[in-house]
Amino acid sequence: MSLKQYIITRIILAVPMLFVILTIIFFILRIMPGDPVAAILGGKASIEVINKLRHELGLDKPLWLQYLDYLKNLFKGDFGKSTLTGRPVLSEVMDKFPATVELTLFAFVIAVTIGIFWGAEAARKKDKAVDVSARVFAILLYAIPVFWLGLMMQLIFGSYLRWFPVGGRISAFVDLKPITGLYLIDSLIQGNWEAFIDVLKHLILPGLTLGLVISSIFLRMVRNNAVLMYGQDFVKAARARGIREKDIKYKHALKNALVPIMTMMGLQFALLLGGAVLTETTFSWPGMGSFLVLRIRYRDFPAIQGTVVFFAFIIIVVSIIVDIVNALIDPRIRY
Amino acid sequence: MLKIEDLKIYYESKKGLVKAVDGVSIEVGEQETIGLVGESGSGKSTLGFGILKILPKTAQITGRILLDNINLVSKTEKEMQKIRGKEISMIFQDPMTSLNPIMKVKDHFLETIKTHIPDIEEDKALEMTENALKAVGINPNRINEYPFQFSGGMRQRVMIALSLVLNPKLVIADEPTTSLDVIVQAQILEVLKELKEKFQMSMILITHDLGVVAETADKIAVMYAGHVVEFAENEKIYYGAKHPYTKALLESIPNTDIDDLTLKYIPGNPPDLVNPSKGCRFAPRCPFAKDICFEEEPPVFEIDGSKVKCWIYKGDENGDG
Repeated sequence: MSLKQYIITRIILAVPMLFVILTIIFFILRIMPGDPVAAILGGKASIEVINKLRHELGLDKPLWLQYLDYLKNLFKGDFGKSTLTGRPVLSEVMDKFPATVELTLFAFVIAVTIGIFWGAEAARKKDKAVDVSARVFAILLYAIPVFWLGLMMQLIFGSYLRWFPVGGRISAFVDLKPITGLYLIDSLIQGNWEAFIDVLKHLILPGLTLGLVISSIFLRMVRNNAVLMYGQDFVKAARARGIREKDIKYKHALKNALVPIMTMMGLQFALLLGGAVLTETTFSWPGMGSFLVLRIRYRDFPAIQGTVVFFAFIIIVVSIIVDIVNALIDPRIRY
Repeated sequence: MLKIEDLKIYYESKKGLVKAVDGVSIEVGEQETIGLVGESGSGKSTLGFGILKILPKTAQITGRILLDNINLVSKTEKEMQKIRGKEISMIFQDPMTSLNPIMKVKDHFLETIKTHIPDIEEDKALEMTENALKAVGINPNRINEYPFQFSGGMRQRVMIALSLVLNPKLVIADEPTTSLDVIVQAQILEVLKELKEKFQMSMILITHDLGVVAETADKIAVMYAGHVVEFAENEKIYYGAKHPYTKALLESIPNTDIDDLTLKYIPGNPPDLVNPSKGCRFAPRCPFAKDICFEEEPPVFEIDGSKVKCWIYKGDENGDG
């Protein structure tokens, strides 16, 4: 199978997957305890008001009709209106999403860099200082709760040293016109260096906190997989051909080690795009995580449903991308 | 061409220092094939890898490995990288795992060629690749395929082509046919023999199977417990083995005699290489062992052109052995 055919197949297969997920989301939200009408009206409204609202929300229709409406609306790109703010859910989500993307990308760059470079070097020098320290680092950071690490970061770099702000995305006095919603990129496009520095300063603590915690997982996986690869015959055979250690490390050991790791990284990435709830809350980061937590507290059902559908969509897109990247790395997958 | 003198390779292990190769001296002449025969753990593969100095980090290597009078033992890792694949190359036991599964066949060749000849043109490197593949009987239009698209025998051909592409002086083949089925074994041996002539190189053929080297090797070195116990021309091993171990090894080859279906074997086990006995290492299993065999390590005696490390031949030696 050619790569093109493989990609097309993956995309086609994603359609039924998306459909199944949408169905599951619909029914889970209907089974969940709590009545949206009661949540909106506060439980003290008269029966007429309740019935009126039920009708407006379409909740008086049979379940299967509600289900069809739900699919039809989603297909049109209509995720419903928030019961808390009255705004369309999709536009609310799209307001929060760039903040999460920015944090996720920043954290991911840190995590992948640490994971890959340190992990590969640790594998090459197994049981030496660089490896032992990698293992200690990984276990330690894996065991530390992310919010505690965040608090410590705030305490040390925010309160004592006063190097970085402890929360938010941008200082109130800084003027920045959002274009993409990714403030780093927006400030670069506009050549607004003051904003760029300010945004970067805000990003460093939450990004580092999240990045370090994720890097612990990557580091362990890369190191363990690469150790396995270093023991393989093809590495020994490459050495016997005089291939340089650097090429052996990256082209032979690491590249082979990455195949199973890519899937894990992709899933991790997708999960983070859903919002790193603890990190976002610790740093008052206005992203998807804090958005979802807030809306759950207010029983904003359309917002919850819309956000979950949005996550599902992202997870599917990311998993398709991961599959394609994997097929690019390992040709055995696409045959 | 290659001269190994009193080579010792010791490993650190949890039990202590493993004397895997303990004072080996052999010589490989121009365009000569040496069969290196021994059972598992005799040190034959360690010797093979030791020549290229691809050893675990804990290995200590002493003695001399002279490649055209240049001592490889004193070479640094960087200098060895220039020799590996270019002057001396290696063919591995298991072709299924010796090629990088996610690299095209072509890229294995290009990587090797470009590592050793950095300023080579792409076309020239590709041409070399195609010629090497043709030489082992693989259609050059398969260069864009991946290892998993080849069968075991074909992969071993790829490995052979890969080891020959830079026209090395010496190829070390470590059990090149062990993991292949019998028919393919014969084909691969034939390919090796043919190419050795064509490329005018020397070869060390490491095997546990005396049948494999019978037709291919000019000389045979028999290893036991880190020592070369007998080193002689092919015929002298098969028709006039001197060392009791070589004799026992030859007797243990299963025959096709319908009236004799018993499998002969050598009683006992190979010795512990951490604390080998001070005498001859084969003595505990040797039917001819005398008192001296347990007391003192035998020197190498030269008998009728065979080099034998056995006390039986004390006083019989001729020439300068």
